[in-house]
Formats: sequence, C-alpha cells, structure tokens
Amino acid sequence: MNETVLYNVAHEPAYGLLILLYFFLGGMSGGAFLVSAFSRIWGGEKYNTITRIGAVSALVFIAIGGLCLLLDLGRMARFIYLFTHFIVTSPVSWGSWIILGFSICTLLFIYFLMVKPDKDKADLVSKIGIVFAIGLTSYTGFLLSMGKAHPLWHSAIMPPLFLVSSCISGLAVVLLVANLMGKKTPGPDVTGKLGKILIAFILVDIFFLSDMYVLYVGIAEANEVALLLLVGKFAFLFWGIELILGSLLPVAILSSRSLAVTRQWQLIASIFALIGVFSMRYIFIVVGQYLPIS
Amino acid sequence: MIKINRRNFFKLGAAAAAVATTGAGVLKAAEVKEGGKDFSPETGAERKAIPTACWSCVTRDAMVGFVEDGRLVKLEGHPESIRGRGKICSKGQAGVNQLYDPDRVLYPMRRVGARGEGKWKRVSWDEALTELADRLKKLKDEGHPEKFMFHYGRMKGSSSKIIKSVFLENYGTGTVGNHTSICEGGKWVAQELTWGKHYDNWDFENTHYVLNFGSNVLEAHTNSIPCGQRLVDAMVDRGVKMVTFDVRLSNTATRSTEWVPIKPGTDGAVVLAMCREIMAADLYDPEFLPFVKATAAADATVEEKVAALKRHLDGYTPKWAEKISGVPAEKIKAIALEFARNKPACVISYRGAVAHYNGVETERAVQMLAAITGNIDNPGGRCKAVAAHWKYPKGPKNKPKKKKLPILDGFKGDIAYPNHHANHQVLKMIKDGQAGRPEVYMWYCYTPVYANGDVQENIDILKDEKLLPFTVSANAYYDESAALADLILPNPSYLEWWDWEDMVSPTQVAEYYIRQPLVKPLGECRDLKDVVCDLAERMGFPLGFKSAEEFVKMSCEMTPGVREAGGFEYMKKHGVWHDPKATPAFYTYKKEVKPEKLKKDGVILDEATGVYWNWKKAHAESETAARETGYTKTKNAYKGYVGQLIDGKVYKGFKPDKVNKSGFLELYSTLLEMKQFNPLPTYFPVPEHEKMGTDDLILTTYKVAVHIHSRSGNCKWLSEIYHENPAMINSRTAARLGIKTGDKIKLKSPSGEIVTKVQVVEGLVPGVVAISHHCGHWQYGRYASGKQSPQNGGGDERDSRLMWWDSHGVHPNWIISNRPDPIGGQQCWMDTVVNVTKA
Amino acid sequence: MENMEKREMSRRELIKWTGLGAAAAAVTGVAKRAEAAAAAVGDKRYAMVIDLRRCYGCHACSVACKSEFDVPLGRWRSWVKTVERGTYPNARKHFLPRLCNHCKKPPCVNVCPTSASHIRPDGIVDIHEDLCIGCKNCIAMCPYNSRFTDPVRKIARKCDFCIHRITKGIAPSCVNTCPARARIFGDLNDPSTQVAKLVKRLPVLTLKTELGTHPHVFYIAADESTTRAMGGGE
Ligand SMILES: Nc1nc2c(c(=O)[nH]1)N[C@H]1C(S)=C(S)[C@@H](COP(=O)(O)OP(=O)(O)OC[C@H]3O[C@@H](n4cnc5c(=O)[nH]c(N)nc54)[C@H](O)[C@@H]3O)O[C@H]1N2
Ligand SMILES: Nc1nc2c(c(=O)[nH]1)N[C@H]1C(S)=C(S)[C@@H](COP(=O)(O)OP(=O)(O)OC[C@H]3O[C@@H](n4cnc5c(=O)[nH]c(N)nc54)[C@H](O)[C@@H]3O)O[C@H]1N2
Ligand code: SF4
Ligand code: SF4
Ligand code: SF4
Ligand code: SF4
Ligand code: SF4
Ligand SMILES: [Mo]
Repeated sequence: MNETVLYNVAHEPAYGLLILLYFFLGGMSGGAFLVSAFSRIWGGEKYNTITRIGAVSALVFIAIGGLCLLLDLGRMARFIYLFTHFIVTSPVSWGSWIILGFSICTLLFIYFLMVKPDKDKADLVSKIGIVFAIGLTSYTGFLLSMGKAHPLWHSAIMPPLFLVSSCISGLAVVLLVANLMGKKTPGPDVTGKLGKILIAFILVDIFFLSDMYVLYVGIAEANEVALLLLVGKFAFLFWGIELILGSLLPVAILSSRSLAVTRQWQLIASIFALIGVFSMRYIFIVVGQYLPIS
Repeated sequence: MIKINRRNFFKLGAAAAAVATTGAGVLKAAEVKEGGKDFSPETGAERKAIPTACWSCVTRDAMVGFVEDGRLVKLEGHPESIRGRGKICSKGQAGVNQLYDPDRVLYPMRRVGARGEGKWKRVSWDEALTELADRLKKLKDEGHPEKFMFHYGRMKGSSSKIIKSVFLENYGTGTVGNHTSICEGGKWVAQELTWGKHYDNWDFENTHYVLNFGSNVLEAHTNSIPCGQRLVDAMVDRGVKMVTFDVRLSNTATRSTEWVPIKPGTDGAVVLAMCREIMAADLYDPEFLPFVKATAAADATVEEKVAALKRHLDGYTPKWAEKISGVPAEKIKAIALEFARNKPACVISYRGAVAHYNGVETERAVQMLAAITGNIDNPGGRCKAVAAHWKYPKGPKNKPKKKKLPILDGFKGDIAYPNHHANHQVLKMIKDGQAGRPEVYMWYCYTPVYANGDVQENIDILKDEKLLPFTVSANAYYDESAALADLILPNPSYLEWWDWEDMVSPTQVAEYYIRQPLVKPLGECRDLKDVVCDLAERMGFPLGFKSAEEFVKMSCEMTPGVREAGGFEYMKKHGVWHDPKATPAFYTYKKEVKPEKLKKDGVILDEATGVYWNWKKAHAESETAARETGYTKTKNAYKGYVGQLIDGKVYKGFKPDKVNKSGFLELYSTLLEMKQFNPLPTYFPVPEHEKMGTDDLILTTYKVAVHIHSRSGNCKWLSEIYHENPAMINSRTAARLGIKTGDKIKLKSPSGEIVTKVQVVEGLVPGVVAISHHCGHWQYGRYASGKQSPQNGGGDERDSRLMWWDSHGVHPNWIISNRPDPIGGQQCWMDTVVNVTKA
Repeated sequence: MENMEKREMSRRELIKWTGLGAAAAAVTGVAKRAEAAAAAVGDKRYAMVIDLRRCYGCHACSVACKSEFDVPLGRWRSWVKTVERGTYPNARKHFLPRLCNHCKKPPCVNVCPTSASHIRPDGIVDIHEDLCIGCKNCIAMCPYNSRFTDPVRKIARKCDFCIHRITKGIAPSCVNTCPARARIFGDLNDPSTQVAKLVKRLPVLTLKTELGTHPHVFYIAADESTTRAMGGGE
C-alpha cells in the first residue's frame, strides 16, 4: 500500500535553543548542588572545596539557565504571572516555583557556607535544597513526558533519566572546575572518588538507553524516531557522541587505574561527559520535535 | 469517545443514506446561523456587510464583503444567493489578498527604458489618457480603427457590455480578441454545432447518475461553487453514483464513486463505444430522438435515425476503445448500460475532454451520449444554461461600421469554425504580418505572455517594437505581460468596481446580481469601464453614461423584475435578485412556436433543413436570394432563426448561435460535412500521440483548487498553500525512467525545455507527466515570484516578512506549443509530447 | 494597546490573587468578554463534526480562517492534510481538515503555568490572551500541532471555534464557507442539533483517541492512516 503526503503544514518547533540551554544548565545546576550537598553530608572536611565548587556552580548555572528561560518567554515582562499562579497539573508551574526555591536555597547555602558561615543553617538549607534540586533535575523530565504525541518524550523513565543525567553533568562540571583550581585542587582521592561516582551514574544512564529498544518496537511513530536515532540522520549524534564519546569513553578513562587519577584525563573525561549530557538534551529537544506529529 | 473500527467503518455506506449530513439551509432554532454577519475577533464589534460578487474565477459567485475601519477584512458567500447558497471557495476568500497585494500597481506608468527593461516613470492619468486618446483618435480619423486591437481575458457581465458592446463598437474596431480558445473554446463550438448555445448546466439536484469526462467540477469548473456543492449533496445525501474519467486522480475523481483513468485525448473513443453499446441494447430514448438530427434528411423517422446511428457506431466497439484508451472494454460497456438505465443521468465534460486536437469531436460524442438517452435539457440531465437577461443602455444610436484585422481566427484554412477565435494564434499572426498588424495593442484581464503556449515566442513578439509599436496593459498587477507594455493603466481589483452579473444558475432559475466596490479604489486606480467613458468623451463620442456605476444603475432601472423589486437601491442593499415566481427552465426545445410568429414579415421555411427563419432579421439581400442560397449557406442566417419543423409541428427547438445550424440537436452536422469532416461524431487520434519514443511522455496541465490560472499567485494565503508545481509521474513510469520523488528532470519539446522537480504518485495514468499551470511566475509580485513590483504598491506589510517559501515552481507553457484543433480552434493544451530525462 | 492590556491584567490578577474573582467581577461589572459569554452557556458543549464523505479538500475552510483572524503566514489555526493512498489504479486521496480539537482533557491546559489556557464551561478551549506569557509549553504539549506563537504579539494562539461569532449565533468562519457542508458545528449537549445526531448515529473517529485527550472534533469516514502523524511517511 503506497502512501504519499500531498499536503501538510510544517509547524515551527516550540522549544528552541534557549530551552535546550536551559535544560542543560538547569540540570547541571541541580546536579552540581546535589554533589555539593551530598559531599558535605557524606564526605566531611576533605570535600570542602567540592562543596563550594558545587554550590557556586549551582548558583551560576541556575542564574544563566533562568535567564535563558526568561529570554525565551514571548512576553518577558509577564514572567511574574508564573508566581501569581500555582497550577498543580503543570510541571512548568511546579518548575517555576522550584527554580525560585532552589535559587533561594543555593544563595542561602553559599551565604551560610562562605559569607557568614553557619553550620546548622547551612545544614538546613542544604537539606531543603536537596529536595528542590531533585525537583529541578527531574521536573523537565516530567514536562517532556506529558508530550503524549512525542514518542521520545512520552515515557515514564523521563524524570529519573533527567535526574541521572543531571547528576552526571553536575559531577562532571564539579570535577572539571576542581581540576582547574590549580593548587586548590583537591587530592586524587577526592577527585578519584567523584570519578567513580560519575562512572556509576553514567552506567545507569546507559542502562536507560535501552529505552531505544522500547521505541524501536513501539508504534509506527515511535519506531520512526528510533530509526532516526539508531540508523538515520541522528545516528552519529546518538552512537558517536552521546554513547561513545559522552558515556563509554569517560567510563573507560575513569575506570583506568592509571588515567583515572591524572588531572588531564579527569579533565578530558569530564568534558566528554558534559558533551554526552548536552547531546542527550539536544536529542530530546531537537530530535523529539523533528518528526511531524500530525 | 466512539472509536471506529474497520467493520463499522464499512457499514457507513448503509448508514449514510439514513443520516444525510446536512440539507442546505435547513436550520433549527438550536443551531447557529450559517452566515450573513461577521464580527471583529478583537473587539467583538460587528463588521459592515456589503453585498458584492466574486470575480476571481469565472463562476462569479455572489458574496458579502465585511469591512472594518474602512478596510476589507473578510469575504463570505452571499447567503441569499440561489446559486452559491452562501458558499465561496479558497480563492474567493483570498480576494482580500487581491485587494491588498503589496505589489499592486497604483499609478499610471510610462516605460522609459527599452521595452521590457523594467524602467518606468510615473505619469498622471491625464498624461496617460491624452497620449492614448491621441493615438486612438488618429487611427479612427485615418479610417483605421481596426488597428486598435483590444484583447481581453475575462470580461463578463456589464464589463463586456460597456467596453465591448458600447465603447469598442462605437469606436469602430472589430479587432477584439478574447481568451476562449485557450480556455474551453472547443467545447463551445461543439455545443454550438449540436444544440446551438455554447454553455451547459448540469442538474445535479435532480440527477440519478453522473458520468464525467475530464471535468474537475469540484476543484475547477466555470460554475464551480454552485455546481460542486450540489454534486456533493447528490452523492452523499442521495447516494447518487458518479463515475469520473480523468488522466489524474483529481479531487473530483477521488470523491467520485469510481475513478476511471484514461489515456489523454482518447475520451472520444470511449464515449463512442458507450453510445454504440446503448444503441445496440436499444436503450435509446425514442421520445427524444424526434428532436435529434442523425441523418442528412430533415424529415427522417425515428427508425431511420436509430438505424443510421447504429450503422455509424457499429465499428466503435468497446474492445476497439479499450485498445485506444486503456479503459477495459467490460467497464466501458457496464458504465454505458448503467448510464442509460439510470434516468435522469447527467453526462458532464470539460477541458479534459476538449483541450485536445480531437476535442470538438469528443464533445460532440458526449452530446450524442446525452441525446440518445434523452438526458438533454431535462431535470437531472445536461441542460441548456439559464442566466439573467439584463437590459442596459446601448450607447450612441449611430454606430460606425466596424472594421477588423483578420488576425483573430488563425491562419487561413486551419480552423473550420473559429466561433470563438484562435487567441493563441494572434501573436503568431502579428509576427507573420500578412493579415496586418495593430498599431495599438491593449490587453485587459489577460496575460498574453503567460496564458498561452510558446511563452518565449510570445515574449519576443511583444517586445518587438517593429511588430507592435504601442502596447498598453490595463492591470491591477505587474504581471509578466504588463512588464512588456509601454503604458500601464492602473486598474482596481474587482473588489473596488461596479458590475452587474449574469452567470449561469445551477437551478435553471436566473439570478440577477451585482458587484459593488467594498472600498474606494486604492491609489489612483481607475476602473477601465470608467476610463473608456472618459476616452470616448475625449475622442468625441460620449457613451451616454459617465461611469460603470451609472451604467449599472441605469441597467437596474431598465431590467424588468429588478426594476420592480426596487432597482438600483434594492440591488445595492441586497446584491442579488431572482424572480420568486420563476420555475426552473427545462425542455425549452419542446415549446411550440406560436403560429402568428411564423406569419411575421420575412419568415420563410427552408425546405432542406425544416428551419423557419426570418431572412430580414438575418440581413439577407432579398427573399429570393435567401430562398436560393438557403438557410444553411446564407451568412448569419441563424440570427433570423424562428423555429424548427418536426413532424408537422413547429418547435422552438435548439436555437442556433454563431453558426447556421438547424433547430434540431444536430448529431449529424451538415456544417461539418461542408468542411469535409464526418457529419456524425467520430474519433481521430491526436497525431503526436501516434509516434512517441520510449522516453516520451504526454504532458498534461491542470488546475488546482487553490489557484486561478496565473492570477492568484499574488494571493499570499493561496501561494502559501500551493507555490510549487512538481511534475507528477506515476510510480511505474518513474521506475521505468529511474526517477524518484525530489529528483530533477528535464522536459523537452519542440517549443523548448524546462527543468523541474518530480513527485511520484499513484493517482495518474502511466506514461503521463502532469504539471499544473499556476506556478513559475517571474513577475507578479513577491508572493508569486519573490520579486516586488516596480511600484511596490502597498509597501511593506507584516506578512511579507513572514513569507517562508522561496521556491515558485515552473511554468509548463514554455514547452507547450500553440496549435489549434482543426474544427474549433481550441488550443491543444493536453496533447504535448515531451521527452523526459533526469536533470 | 500593550499598556492597556497590562493594566487590565493586573487588576484581574489582583482579583484572582485575593480570591475575590467572581464577586469583584460582579460588583465592578467588568467581566471579560469570554467570562460573560461563558456564564450564559454553561450547559453547552460545543463540538464540530467533519464529514469526510463530503470534504473534497478545497482549503476554503483554512483560508476563511486565515482571513477571519488575519492569521500570519507560516501559522495555521486550520489546515487540510492530504494523503494519497493505494496503488494505481486503485489510489485515492484522503483529506483531513484540521483544527484545535477542543479536548476535554487537554494537555495544553494542563501544562499552562498561568491558567491562560483554559476550558470554558461550553467546552471551548481558549486562551486568555492577557495572561499568556508566551512560554510555548502548550504548543509543545498539544498532541495535534494545533497551536502556534503569534509572531507579533508573542503569545500562544489557536482555533477558538470562532467564539466571537458563535456567541452571536453565527457559525464559525470555516463552517460558513465550506462548500461541501462537510464541517458541522453545534452544541453536543442538545440532542436536536446536527452534531449531536451525527455523533450519536454515525460511527465517528477522533484523532489519536488512544491518548485520552477526548477531542471534540469528530470525523465521519476518516481514513485511519491519514489521521496518524506518520500517515504516508514524511
Ligand atoms: N480552482 C480553479 N478553478 C477554476 C479555474 C482555475 O484556474 N482554478 N479556472 C476556471 C476556468 S477559466 C475554467 S475554463 C475552468 C476549467 O475547469 P476544468 O475543465 O474542470 O479544469 P481543468 O483542470 O482545466 O481540466 C479538467 C481535468 O481534465 C483532466 N484531463 C486532462 N486531459 C484529459 C483527458 O484526455 N481526458 C480526461 N478525461 N481528462 C483529462 C485534468 O487532469 C483535469 O483534472 O475552471 C474554472 N475554475
Ligand atoms: N498550460 C495551461 N495553460 C492554460 C490553461 C491550462 O489548463 N493549462 N488554462 C487556460 C484557461 S482555461 C484560461 S481561461 C486562460 C486564462 O488566461 P488569462 O485570462 O490570461 O489568465 P489569468 O491568470 O486569469 O489572468 C490574466 C491577468 O489578469 C490580470 N488581473 C487579475 N486580476 C485583475 C483585476 O482585478 N483587474 C485587472 N485589470 N486585471 C487583473 C492579472 O494581471 C493576470 O495576469 O489560461 C489558459 N492557460
Ligand atoms: S468559485 Fe471561488 S473563485 Fe470562483 S467565483 Fe466562486 S468563490 Fe470566486
Ligand atoms: S487540540 Fe491541542 S490545543 Fe486544542 S485542546 Fe487539544 S491539546 Fe489543546
Ligand atoms: S504560551 Fe501562554 S497559553 Fe501557552 S502555556 Fe505558556 S502561558 Fe499558557
Ligand atoms: S472554528 Fe474558527 S478558529 Fe477554528 S478553524 Fe474554524 S474558522 Fe478557524
Ligand atoms: S472547506 Fe469543507 S470541503 Fe473544503 S477542505 Fe474544508 S472541510 Fe473540506
Ligand atoms: Mo478557462
């Protein structure tokens, strides 16, 4: 049976570059905060630098990310309506409040950490911050999973997937910055440990990629997307960048006994991992909107 | 919700009959009204409604324009129109774009550089008209008014009367061209040779069966919106079967019960085979045959006619037709019998049948099919058109004897009955020069360059100042032809001018309606109808009215019915009028002529044909001369036609027009016999199709639902939908040629070559390449060609920034040559053989 | 214009914020157009039936819609998807006139962070233009591509069933012009209307029924393949 579309209209994609950037930066910010907060809870003194790097990165990235979101609004001045409403069904509404809460917590955290150190208060805000950070890293996944007509989005693994990949980018960026601190760079025991954790998250992330199989065997539209990624136009991005460069190589580097502890290789591995996460976000935004849905 | 599964999907057919979706105009209190009002979505304020009429295509539906803050914002069908019943199509809707085309020509322009170079200077109307009037007056005074050639495309209703019947007649030129031969001229000639009048109406409201040869009635057609909607009603509400023969899966074909693909130019064979089967099965209608002429004799009996037809048709077997057309013989037979048994049945046909070398014969065969089954002028059949009869002021009493250059009807001997001229031969004849050349060539609502074949030749001729010393375009837009004018007179769009209108009614009840300006003409635009009043005044023969508005007003006060209803004021307010007491006009041929009419001075009986005619009215020399030469051979004898003698009674019969046909429905045409054609409808193949190579395909061109010829390319809402016209090719042919969708191909013909993209489809006969004729503009403004006009009329607008397409398709007419069919002079659009290779 | 809108909005916001919406609106008598209309039509459920036995793919509806709202180029409230299916000579064209489905469970409304997108009591899914921040999330979440960003006003827009006409008793613009009378509009809750009868008596299809959005545009005799996103491939 032959089928040819003789006429249909092309719709501009709703999510563009700014949203892509936000998805990346917001996730990275939340991830960095989690690294910061947990290194403080579980790591002790040794991890002070990591905690600080994480907290500051979180603040910087949420600021830039938030700005991207703001700039993306058609009516920027009306952003205030995001905070005159709370819509239970809307991940965007949740997200807005989460961003607000998260930013406040991060600010306070830094304040009680670095400006006017106060251990108890820092403890408190870090714990509240963890809740917000988890929200921040996963709500975007919730949002996309509402996109029922996009097979790539409409999946229950989206929130955990976004959480995990945010942690990857958070870890990677902290590792990156840590290695750029010159003398202040923590010892290989610390960075090495971060590297190990990064491996773990990447492995979980790779496991999530099995979702591709689900897509592949799914309904026609899903299959179409899977083919696009597995063998089509975006195959290089998927296999080459996201999987090999962004996931397998960092794992390989960080699990090599000799390379894992050297500064250069840690730098390289973290950059690769960041590229991996970015390409994952790119795939979800760009490829997710690539095929016609109507 | 209710999810449909395959099984109940198929049950739909049965359910359909029980639940007709909508009967037109049936409204319950609970329902919203269909129309008549519109409001601003922004403010909610009611928009001002002004009745008018569309003019985008020749259908000319009555409309209502909605105006907000002095700007036209919306057009809708006129809810009180009995023709359109409140509906208009996409092109009608996009009329708003015609009015506000940012590339409109708003001021008179005089060429300054070489012709066609694109250098212009703005001049005043007075300058423009002084120059034109001087030139025209000079020709007239020298005794050569015929050297002013006026060439129009669409000019109907009062426009035609003011410009042609009053202005040009009083000026004295008969060198007046039209565009009918590139349109459906062959059909008109065939109908004139058979039943007299040129136009038919298809009574879908009462029909039980529709058989279609090459009409895309739903997407195109000259009476589209009125007929199309009634056809859908018939098919869906009453379950009427429709079979469509088309080379393409047009939207009409796809909506039909059955699409029968057919090789281009072979419909005639199929129709003849159908006639044969019907005659052979004795399914002819003996009641109608007395009104048919089927033999040389005017007094043949029905039996003799039946015998003659059977004899003539005998060789046209379905098997024979199958070999020619590719349509299976059993199918031909089955459809023929079904058609004959389902009375009333309506056989329809349009340019797909007639725009061929053998088109007139095909159309005559179609008339035969309708005639032998008695589906002529009957409820549910193929009817003689009914339209409004306006009375109008005819201008000064003493008209000069008009003269004309013999360049309108093609080269000598090429065309037997060029009743509607051979428009596509005009430029060739001007080049040839033997029959003379116009000194002033002016065209209006017509694009000589683009609408005809052989585009390059047209350009070369129009550009040549030696061939055409002075060219004038009266136009609202800067089209490809206006670019070659010396003077451009800015015309408003049809939404800014006055007219009365008279297009054919689908219900056989005439509708009177007018077109009135919805806004004041933009810029310095002036309606050509007003301009000719001015020109006539300048040349010293005032027309008796000063403007189109006055003419329309006078017509309203003169026309019986309209006058009593309230005349001009009524029409301005209501836009449409029809006689509420009128009944549909069917079977007009059966009316007997009153005896006193036969006794009138000058009326004589022509024994050979049985025609009563008034030799005086026909301007014959004398009664003796008239009797001696006879009706058939006396020039313009048809103008004196009174009635037809049949079995001792005199009937109104099928009144002739344009040629001296008898009052019978002539299947046997003495007129054609006189010109060495077979008097009965026959089939002869398209010569080029007989000698095709392996990589040769037949090029067919067609119309799509969202464009009108070339004239709608400037409509952003339409070009947004359709701005590319890829070459459609059947997958089998594509496979054979190693071509796939998106590939570029080169099409070559003796006229030239074009390169275009391919769209492989299933809905097309193999061996054919189909390209619509709407795209490929190189002028006509930004939305059509990406190029702004020299005046950049309305300037910048939001949407010109948002225009998102930059491809504009390819015009097929570069490679179609201008050739007339031998009988009627119809341009053989759909016959072109092209050589196709990958580019 | 812009300013006026803002002022109006802030008052409206204030009212919302303080939970005095209904009362304040009644007192001040400044209920918005949409709200006023909604109050009167609470028992209605507007819907459209598109009879694909009748539709012949002429695009009159979509152009009428463009004109009614002066919809910018490159954006559509309505369009007519056309798919060719089958193998020669048994090929057919299938037409699918599209517009917002006015879903009963609309993801676009669910995702809207400001309640600009909302369902009216008469079932119409509409946008409070003055509340829309132009975040485009509703556009991304609509499974039917029914929405777009207005390139000038930078807010989300879409088919609104021609509220400005139907509330005054006049059919939507696309319905008005459809020569085939393939588009039928009316109140589904009133059993005497055409739409109610058709939906009750004929098998109808809604788009992507499986998504649970409960569209209120019903198609008669739809070709299932055409209704799918991938209908006919790319
Ligand atoms: N949308 C739209 N409507 C229009 C117009 C327009 O430009 N656009 N123009 C108006 C005018 S001026 C006219 S004259 C009418 C014309 O109205 P139509 O004659 O109905 O339209 P066309 O597209 O010229 O041709 C009709 C069909 O003939 C088919 N065809 C081609 N060759 C053959 C053949 O050999 N046999 C058969 N059986 N079919 C064949 C084509 O595929 C096409 O579908 O439309 C009028 N209405
Ligand atoms: N290949 C191919 N060629 C064809 C056909 C085909 O089927 N195939 N169809 C043929 C048919 S059926 C016909 S009828 C002819 C039509 O041939 P034309 O009548 O020449 O073509 P149009 O595109 O209708 O309009 C001609 C010009 O009218 C002008 N115009 C438009 N609106 C207005 C207005 O409001 N005022 C004024 N003054 N001018 C205006 C525009 O500048 C436009 O260029 O084309 C024929 N050409
Ligand atoms: S069919 Fe369309 S373009 Fe032609 S007159 Fe009617 S509304 Fe206008
Ligand atoms: S079709 Fe899309 S925009 Fe319309 S109500 Fe449904 S989800 Fe919302
Ligand atoms: S664009 Fe407007 S309507 Fe859409 S979700 Fe955002 S605020 Fe709501
Ligand atoms: S109902 Fe109104 S807004 Fe919706 S598609 Fe029809 S014309 Fe457009
Ligand atoms: S106007 Fe009617 S017939 Fe034409 S495409 Fe739209 S729904 Fe179909
Ligand atoms: Mo035509």
